[in-house]
Amino acid sequence: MGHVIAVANMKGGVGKTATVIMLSHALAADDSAKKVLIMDVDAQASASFCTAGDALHTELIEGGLTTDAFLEDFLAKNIDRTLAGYVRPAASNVMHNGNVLDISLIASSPALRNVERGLIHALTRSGYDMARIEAEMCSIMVAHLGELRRKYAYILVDCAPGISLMTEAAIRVADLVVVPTIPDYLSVLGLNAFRRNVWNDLVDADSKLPKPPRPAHVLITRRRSNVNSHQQTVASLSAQAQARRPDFKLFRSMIPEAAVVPVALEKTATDFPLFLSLWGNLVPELQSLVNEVKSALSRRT
Amino acid sequence: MQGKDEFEDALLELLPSDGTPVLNRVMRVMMSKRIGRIIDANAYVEARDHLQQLGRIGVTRGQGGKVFLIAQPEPAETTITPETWSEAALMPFLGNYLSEAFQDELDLPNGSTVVVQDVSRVGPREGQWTRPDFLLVSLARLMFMPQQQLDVHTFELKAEYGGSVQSVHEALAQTRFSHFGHLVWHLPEGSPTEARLDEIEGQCARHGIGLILMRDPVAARFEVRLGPVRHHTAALDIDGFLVSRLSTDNQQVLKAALRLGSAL
Repeated sequence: MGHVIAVANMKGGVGKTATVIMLSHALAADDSAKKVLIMDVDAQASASFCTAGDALHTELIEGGLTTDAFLEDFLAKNIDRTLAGYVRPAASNVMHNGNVLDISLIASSPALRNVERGLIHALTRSGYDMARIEAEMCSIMVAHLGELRRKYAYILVDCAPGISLMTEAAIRVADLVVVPTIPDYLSVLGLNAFRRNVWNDLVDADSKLPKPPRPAHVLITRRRSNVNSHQQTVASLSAQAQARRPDFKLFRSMIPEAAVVPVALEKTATDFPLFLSLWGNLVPELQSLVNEVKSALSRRT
Repeated sequence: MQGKDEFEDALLELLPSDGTPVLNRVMRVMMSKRIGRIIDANAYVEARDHLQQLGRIGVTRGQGGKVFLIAQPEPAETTITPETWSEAALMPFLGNYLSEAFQDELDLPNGSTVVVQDVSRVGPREGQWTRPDFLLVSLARLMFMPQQQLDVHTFELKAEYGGSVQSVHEALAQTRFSHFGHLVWHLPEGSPTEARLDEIEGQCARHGIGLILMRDPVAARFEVRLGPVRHHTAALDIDGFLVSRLSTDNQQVLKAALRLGSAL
């Protein structure tokens, strides 16, 4: 059975989409026999654009093959269609070792935000409270991801910043939640708030939502090794992660602030790059991250 | 559309129409994205090689190789208007003219035999100017002389903007295999290319090439500007040319006429 990996953080701009794209490429390149699916539940649809490129992304939106279309069809229109029906196979432009990376996509579109809001309004008018709506969403996700887990080795969910209906559900049903974090003061504050919100349920003690089976796995992103505050934050996070009963895990692999990242995100949408040349000197770090992710997933919960 | 055909269609659709080459690996990614499933290297190579065999695409080497679209001939014209006259469209009109009015003007004795054939696609591709558009062979039975006279005419057809001094030389080159070389030029009244007429006519006169102007093909209006001069081409060359160009039926017609003439 495949693994669901949610890449999430309430704070924006920490590199969630970049992490999803990098990790999807690295996982697909690591083993060409293993299929990777990107599920975009962020209305900004950046992961969809970076993966499919403009033309295919537009085609998917026009053809109703998006997460918001699934929500509308399944919940609002009661059309009995599985999430697997919204997958676009062979969505990536990237090659490695003579093979096209086997990356599929469930795209998102800017309509997702309004569809989610409309759904919440409609369900609350029908007497549902927020906890029940979220629980319902979680059970829908669990059911629909089951079929996808049989087909894909890894399902990477690019979550929206803040908290939205699908993001909330994706975080709670994922096997692993990767939390990209910039090693600076504000980002760490956001990280703490996010962990409390999801793992400790301090915000809503009565919540019936399931907790993720593993602690948050923090990935340091956009690290600048020559900046003191970054060094100190990394040291502090490392110490916390090595405490006797840590609240979170910290990946040893770290993504540095590098010009290659924005260039690669653009190239993957517009060119036909090779994995090794696309990510350049980040490749060893990505391979190391893949090993850590596989190791984390193999550990019993 | 499944498998190989699907891959080939995608490959043809995705290649730039201007013939710009695309890397094989890029084309494979583009095809995978278009079709929505990963195409493995073997399936790609099979589709690519088949299209190359069909002459639809070309392949270049280096950097993993590239593929490019080979321009295909324009589809046959369905409507013929004066603006779209091509040599291909003019051919049937020239065939009719040679079979009727031109033969009448030859004023052959009664009992003579004439065959006319479109030979524009017959014969070897190699060699320069070896394919006239039409061939007319006349076998004239004379009144008192015992022999029959066999004359071979070759015709080089040019569309309105194709007429040039070089086309005269083309018609002249064809007299390597014939007695009479003709240039047939589609030159409507008032055509801007009429400015070339004097020079072309002068070249035809100089080399003994006949010049026929096709003024209006639909109305069968042809104007013979110059009669050709008979070239003393070797009998062996003429014979070899007729054997290689004439259809079996036309060869039979001529052989029968020759036998009949000998018997008389």
